[in-house]
Amino acid sequence: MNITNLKLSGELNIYAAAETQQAVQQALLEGGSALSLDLSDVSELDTAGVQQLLLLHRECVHSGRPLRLAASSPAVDETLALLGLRKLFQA
Amino acid sequence: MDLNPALDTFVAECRELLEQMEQSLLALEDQPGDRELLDAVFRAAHTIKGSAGMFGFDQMVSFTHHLENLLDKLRAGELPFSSSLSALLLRSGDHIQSMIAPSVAEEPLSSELQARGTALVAELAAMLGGPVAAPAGKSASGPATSAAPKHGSLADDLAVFLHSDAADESASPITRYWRISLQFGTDVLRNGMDPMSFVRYLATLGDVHSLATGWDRLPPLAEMDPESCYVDLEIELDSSADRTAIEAVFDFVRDDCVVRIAPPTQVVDAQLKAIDALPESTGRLGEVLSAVHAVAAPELSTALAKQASASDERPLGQILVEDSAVPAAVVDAAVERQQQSRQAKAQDSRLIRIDADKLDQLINIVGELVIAGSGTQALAAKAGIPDVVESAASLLRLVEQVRDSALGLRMVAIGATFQRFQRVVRDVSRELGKDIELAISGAETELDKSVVERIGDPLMHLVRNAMDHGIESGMTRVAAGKSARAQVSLNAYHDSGSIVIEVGDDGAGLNVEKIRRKAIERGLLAASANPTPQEIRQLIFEPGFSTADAVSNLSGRGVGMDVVRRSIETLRGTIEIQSEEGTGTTVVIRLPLTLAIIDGFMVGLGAARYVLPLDVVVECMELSESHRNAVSEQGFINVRGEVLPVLRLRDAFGISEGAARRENVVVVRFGQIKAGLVVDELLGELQTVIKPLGKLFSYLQGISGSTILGSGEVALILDVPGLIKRVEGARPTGIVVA
Repeated sequence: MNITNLKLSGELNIYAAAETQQAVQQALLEGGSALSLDLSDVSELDTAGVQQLLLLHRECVHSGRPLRLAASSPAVDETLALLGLRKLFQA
Repeated sequence: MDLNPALDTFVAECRELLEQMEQSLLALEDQPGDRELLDAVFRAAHTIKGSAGMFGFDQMVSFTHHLENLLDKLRAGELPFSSSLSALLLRSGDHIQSMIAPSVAEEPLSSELQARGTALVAELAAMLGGPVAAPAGKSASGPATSAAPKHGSLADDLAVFLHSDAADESASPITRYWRISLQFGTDVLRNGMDPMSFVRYLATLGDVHSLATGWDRLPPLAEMDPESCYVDLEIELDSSADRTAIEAVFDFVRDDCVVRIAPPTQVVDAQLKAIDALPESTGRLGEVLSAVHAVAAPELSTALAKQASASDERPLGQILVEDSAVPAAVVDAAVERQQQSRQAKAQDSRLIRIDADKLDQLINIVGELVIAGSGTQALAAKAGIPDVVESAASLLRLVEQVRDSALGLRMVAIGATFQRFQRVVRDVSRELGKDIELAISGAETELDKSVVERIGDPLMHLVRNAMDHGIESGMTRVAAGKSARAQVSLNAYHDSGSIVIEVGDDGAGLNVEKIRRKAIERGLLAASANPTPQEIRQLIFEPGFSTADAVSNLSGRGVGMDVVRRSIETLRGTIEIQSEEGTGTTVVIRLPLTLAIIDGFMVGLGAARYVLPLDVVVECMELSESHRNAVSEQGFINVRGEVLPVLRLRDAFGISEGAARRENVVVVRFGQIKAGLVVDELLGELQTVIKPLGKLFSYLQGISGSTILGSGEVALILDVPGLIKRVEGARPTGIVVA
């Protein structure tokens, strides 16, 4: 099984949004049959960052690849809970 | 029970509104598309809810609320009007009616009532059916609205409510929560604002019950600008903050975000109530809505700007409902309010409510005035001073006018009473499985309110009787060559000082032979007697008489028609039945127009004075010598070829003193019958205030009351129907009068 690992870290906010999108795009292009997402080192997550996660999620669903949130951080948990998105990224 | 006047008004109003509602519903059954009728039903329910709310009758409010929801759907055309729906609405109306008394008495509802209420609410909810969208109104702002999670194309993925309770949400439009839809513009993030911060801020105003993030607008990977915002939020907020406070949260983002705020149901209720409570001068729609915080200033100005722009032709109310999520019910109420305040003046002068006791008091005083007036006129005539006579005459004329107006105040059209029977006929015809329609004519005929109040029950009995016994089954009718649809008719008209009410049916008619047999069997008729068919028909009014072969739960227990007759007779009325076998039966009730004051015609017998109601007097003539003999020998006189039965009042009342040299005949008519009454003197017309006789004299026959003359003397009022009956009864018929 070919799993692509994606680790995002630091501040996932509007300032880093362009970089984050590149990383997401990259991971999707790698062509793994599943994706594992590591957010354990994310210190901040804002709506721009969330949009990237949603993008990743949608693309995975479209291409039929399972997406798993392997690890998360308190900042990520708090934001996902606030926006009602926790179910989408179950660990 | 200590009822304050406001409560009395509430009860009276409620009953009226329920009646109106019922009539409109019944009319709707015939014309299902009639918008005005539907509006009338809705208004009635709405007003009932509002007034019940004012008194804190919560159970009435909450029940009526369910009803109103359903009516709202009907009005919006989202539900078709059907007969089952109408039946449900009628039963709901009945339920409200039955809640009035316990609510007013501040008693808890009986468990039976509560159970019925719960069942009805369930039925109403079932009728509402299907998933009901959030009360945000129709989506009018383009495809973007579909980003709301529930309608998203990725619906499966989007069911991400924190406390997902989708079933609850779709079952009913009643919400406890403010619903806030935020559709952020693409530049929000770039402008340094984060949608999440609004959510955090909202949480300081209350409890965020649920939140759903929609990302339908998220573009394909290649087209996505990482710094643009594509998300929407759908928030349910449990908060006691008002609309203005909630709107203020979004002040900074207003230019960049489409904000739609729908208040929770109880806020809608509060706004509806507030609209009702507004002073009448509040005229413009925007003013009304902002006065009750249904719309905030910025929203209103946006809407007004839209309305002003040539491209948007929608009325303001519609713009507010569609674009700003102001609940349609609130806008409707405000629009209605607006119309009401326009009509208020006109309506105020048209109707006022008066305590019936005050009216009775007025009529009593007017009665005394009439007596005093007659006295003055008599004195003036005696004094023989022309000026005084003239002045007394004009005074009396005015008094007469006052009397007529005062009595007119008590007069009500019988239409309202008749209308009630639409429902009865509808319900009973279903119960009996017969197709029966009710035809009403003469609804505008007026009669005294006290009579109207007491005529309801007898009429009810007669109508039910006509439907149950009078009208044949559909098959029998068709076999007899009649239309399958039967008709019961109610008709009213004035006839010589009486009001005549006819209850007719086009059914089988009375079988004279059957009645005759039954009467003999019951001992009401001697087997050897030879009565006319009409006399036989009248027998059905005798106590203990019933021809129904089967006792149904409607009638046929033999305690019907005699009770009806008695109630009519206590109103100084008469009842008679006309029937032709095969074509139908008509019961004719004849009632005096009023129970208080009449124009009288005074006659003298020896020293005593008697008064006849002027309406029944046809003519007067001197009793000639030849007639005198005819009277004493046969009891009949011949008036221009017409033979009339005659009653000598001297004989009838046993007056022997002061035998008059000459006698006169007063020809009276009651209904179809004419008769002559022989009296001594004819003393002319006068105003007569009827004073009932005491209980002690209730057995007196031929006397219906007394009156006080201007001179202070007492005169007895003759009971003409009673006397005529006596004349008629003098003929040998063989009927055993029970």
